[in-house]
Parts: sequence; structure tokens; C-alpha cells
Amino acid sequence: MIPVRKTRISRISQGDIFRDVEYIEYATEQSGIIEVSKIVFPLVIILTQDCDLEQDYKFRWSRKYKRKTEDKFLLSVLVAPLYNAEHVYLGEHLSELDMRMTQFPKKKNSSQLRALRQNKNPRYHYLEFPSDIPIVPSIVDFKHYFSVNVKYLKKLKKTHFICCISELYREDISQRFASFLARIALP
Amino acid sequence: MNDGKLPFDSQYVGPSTQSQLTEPAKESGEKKEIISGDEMRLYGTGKPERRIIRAKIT
Repeated sequence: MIPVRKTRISRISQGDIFRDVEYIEYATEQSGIIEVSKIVFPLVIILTQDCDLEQDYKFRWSRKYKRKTEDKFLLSVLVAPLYNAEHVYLGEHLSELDMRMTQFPKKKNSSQLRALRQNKNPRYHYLEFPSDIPIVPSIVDFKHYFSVNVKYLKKLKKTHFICCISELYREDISQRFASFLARIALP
Repeated sequence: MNDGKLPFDSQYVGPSTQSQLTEPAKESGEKKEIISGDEMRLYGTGKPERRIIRAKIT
């Protein structure tokens, strides 16, 4: 179980968990018809470094800091989806997108399942929340990271923020994500 | 002048029709707020869904 902060602050923080975040797949225009395809993710976690988020907030929104340039502005925020762990075990978490995923053995003590829950599988991060946080056991899939517009997220914060993972644990997630992203495929 | 109407005829509009880039008012500092237990829905039970919006420019 991971400790979390339920207090909501104005700015976006690393480790924040948001619900119902939209990812724009594409937007096209043909013969006057605009088509926009988006995926709505039930839960995402913020992965962007907290110092970058803090500086973006200060220089973009705060009146205290008079800026001469927009050098500290972020263009987007990096996030990764949280999937319902039970759906992941069955390989069905993306079934609504017509995507089949690898199943995990159903035996409770299977080595694959144990590795997943103990965060020994580099691609995934298993999270169990305290009882007062209304989130089911979930799994972050580092392979599915995507970026979200910073102003869009800021606007969502008031209504879609659920909690923020405490510092030490979010650092762990961040470090594991960086390690996964920078992995080297050896023959 | 934009009178608040969308610049196209929307045929299907998803849950978020407002511009994602609308800037909220400037804020002077970080505000803290305790989340009450008013929304004790269970989150994360669902799956990601695809939504497609088509609109005609007028």
C-alpha cells in the first residue's frame, strides 16, 4: 500500500492522479468535416519532474514572479495510464479499444503475477491505495505513456484530481519509468 | 466577433466540448484544499474508451 496526499494544491504535481483524462489520437479536416478521435483514460499519473511543473506554474500563473521570457514554460505534461489490475491480469484492460494484451497466469502464486505485484517487471508498476482512497488496485503501464497539454490538465485539476502519491513513492515510480524508457535491448 | 458559439455545426459532441486551451484567470499563489468525501465513487474500475467527434465547419 502506498501513502498518498489527499490535499489538492493549485498546481500540477508529479505523482498526481487524475481521472478521465483525454488523449487526442488525431484531428483531421477533409471537405469541411473535422474529425477528432480521442481516448478517455479512467486514471493517469503525472510523471513529469516536479521541479519543472513547479517552475511552469510559478512563471505561467503566479503574479509574484514577473517573467521576462517564457523559458520555464512546459509544452506538455508526461503521464501514464493506470489500469484496473484485475483487467490487466486477464489481458482485457484495452478491450474497448479492440486491443488484446498479454494475460497473466490465473494462479495466485504464479511467478509472473508475483513479479508484477512486487514491481519486478520493468514495464509495470503495481499500486494499492489506502482504504480511504477510492481507487481499485491498479497498474501503471510505462509503455503507454503520453503527453497532455499543460493548460488542459491545470483546468482539470479542480474536478478530476483524486490524490497525489507521497514523495518517496512517486520518486520510485519516476525512477522506474526513467529506467524503463532508457532501457537498452541487448542481444 | 465570437459570440460564444462554436464555429461549426456539431453532429456529435463528447463530454468535453470546451476548448482545452482556455486560460483560467491568473492566480497569485498555490491554494490548498482538502478533498472531502463527497465523491467516494470507486475510480479505476472502467477501461479506456475511444470517442470520435465529427463536426462540419460552417
